[in-house]
Amino acid sequence: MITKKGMGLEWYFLIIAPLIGLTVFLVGYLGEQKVIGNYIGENSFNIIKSANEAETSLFFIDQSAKYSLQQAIYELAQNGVSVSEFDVNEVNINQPFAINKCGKFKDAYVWYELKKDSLNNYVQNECFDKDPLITNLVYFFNKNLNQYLTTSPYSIPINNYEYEVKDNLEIIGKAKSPLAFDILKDESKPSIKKPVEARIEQKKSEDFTYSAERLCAKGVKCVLTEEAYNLLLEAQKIAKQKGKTLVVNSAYRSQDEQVAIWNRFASTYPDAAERRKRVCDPYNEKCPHTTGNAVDVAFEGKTTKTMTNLDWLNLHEIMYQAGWVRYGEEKRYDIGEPWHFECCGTNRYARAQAKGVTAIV
Amino acid sequence: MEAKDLILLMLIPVILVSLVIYTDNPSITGAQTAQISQSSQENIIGTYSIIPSFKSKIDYNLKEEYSIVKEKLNQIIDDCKNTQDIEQCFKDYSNQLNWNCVELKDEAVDILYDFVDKFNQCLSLNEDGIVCRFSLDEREIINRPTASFDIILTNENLKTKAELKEGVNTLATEYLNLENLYYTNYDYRDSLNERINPVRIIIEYQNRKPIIKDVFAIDDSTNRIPLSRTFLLYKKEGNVKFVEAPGSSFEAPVPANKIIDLPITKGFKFCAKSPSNKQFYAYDKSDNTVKLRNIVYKFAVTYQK
Repeated sequence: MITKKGMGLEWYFLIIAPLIGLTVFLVGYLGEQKVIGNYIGENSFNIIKSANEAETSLFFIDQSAKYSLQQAIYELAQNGVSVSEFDVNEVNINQPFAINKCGKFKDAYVWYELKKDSLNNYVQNECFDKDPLITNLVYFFNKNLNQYLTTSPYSIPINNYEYEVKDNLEIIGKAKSPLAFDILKDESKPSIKKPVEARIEQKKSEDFTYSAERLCAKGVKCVLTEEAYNLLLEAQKIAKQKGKTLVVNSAYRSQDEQVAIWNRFASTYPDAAERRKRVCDPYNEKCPHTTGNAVDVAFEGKTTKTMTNLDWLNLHEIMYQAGWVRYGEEKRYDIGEPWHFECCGTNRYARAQAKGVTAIV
Repeated sequence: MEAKDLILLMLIPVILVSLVIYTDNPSITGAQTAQISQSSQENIIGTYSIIPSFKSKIDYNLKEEYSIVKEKLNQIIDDCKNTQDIEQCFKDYSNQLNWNCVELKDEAVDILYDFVDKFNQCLSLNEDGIVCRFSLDEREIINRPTASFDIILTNENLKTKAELKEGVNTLATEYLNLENLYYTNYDYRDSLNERINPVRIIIEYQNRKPIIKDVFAIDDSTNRIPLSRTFLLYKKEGNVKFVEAPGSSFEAPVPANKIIDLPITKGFKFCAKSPSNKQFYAYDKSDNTVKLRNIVYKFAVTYQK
């Protein structure tokens, strides 16, 4: 096939083809560069790392259980198989224990009381209603295990076991929830740690900040359980009727945030006992804010410093009408925190309900 | 040019274009990896999950050990409860069975136990509208230049902390089942519910005798409230109130309050070593160390005087 000018069609192709090739090459070369974010098998390595971390955690738990059992046997004997109700705190309050009815003589728990009857003869009274041995062994074991687990470098939940005790002496801890490890894309970046309390129903802060009720102070992350959120809306409704507006200054905190607050006070109060009087100790307590059922509230336009006693009184009235319980004492605003309210089954809330009060320390 | 040459020539640009596209694809390097959705949680590919159940076993027959100790204690009580001197009987058995409590703790801590035991006895009395009266036991305080101690009672989260202090050092801490501390006086003993916190008792031992140097409290308005130096507690409707100094009106014959002198019960403490002589690694705050320790069951028996 030859044109009139004597140039074959193939020559046109030969000229056009390199031009097309060059254009495609330039487009590809000058266009957006594809960057390969990871090296071959990096994700596989990350999975293996997480698996190793999980195995190490299991080993940590196994060893902790071994030491906790020895410690529990020792403490059980030292405490005359009794548990002091004064040692019970928010962390271990859900673990059952058998109470000694007779209390102590010196530092030893009383096993028997000898009381005189009408004929002046001694009658022997047992100090336990039921056999305390296994119940209290498990109590001490769980307490010690919790202490180990809270000091572990991993996010291992506490109070996560149902126990079975067999003779001579075997303790089996059946985990209620699994242990989850994030497989990270980039190890150098921090992972998003989940709070120990897994039942928190997360709400977006926008739901609060930009809602018609405008419950949250600007910039404050307002996350609450649904029940607490509804009670807060109810409180706001009551406040509005009284010509006031509530502003939430703090709500749910993750365990990490509570740890950060605890650490922040370390330089001012190096002594942990002193610090505990001012800040909730996330290592030894179930802090109310980490449950999503606690709020710090004030009236709009006021701070904790500018709120007067009358303001606190009004705030208390509004909140308890909506179903909240204050940290402090009734009609006293110098004890506890007049801005801190709890609801929906926190330990403080339960105690206040049991006592029929609207404020409790 | 033949048709096959033409086809070959036409294939050239196709090959060139294919080559460019092919080399632009990362898979050519063998680096094809799982691509992570950017919309998922940042930096997390997934979750590795395990059930962290465990089993821990130790060679120790807890139930048998406990029942042996308890059985022996029942025998001791049966033998001693009809004797003239129960305490001596308990002592003899304790020596015989090697159930004596050998403790390294500071002997002065017994001052606090003495106070707390008597205070608790008052709290557990069935009578209402009565006055508990007690003093501290005499005791030898040795190896100290001055035998001066403070007992400080402080309200702490619905309970009362009782501390024995020597200077700034806390020698012992116990807790009382008392939500609030109150004081009262004779004239307003049923109506006055003034809260106090803390209560401070200053004691000095001279020739074994405890001398109460001062007892006072701070009320809610930070006033210093002097309290009776004979320990007097007014018990009414579950509340126990300290009595304001001098307190003599409470002890006056007319109109008299029912005064109950404490202690009304005594006790004896046993420390029974594990029948199988077991030892385990454990921590004890008394020496702040973890080491191999004997398993010792510590318990007491109380009896009415």
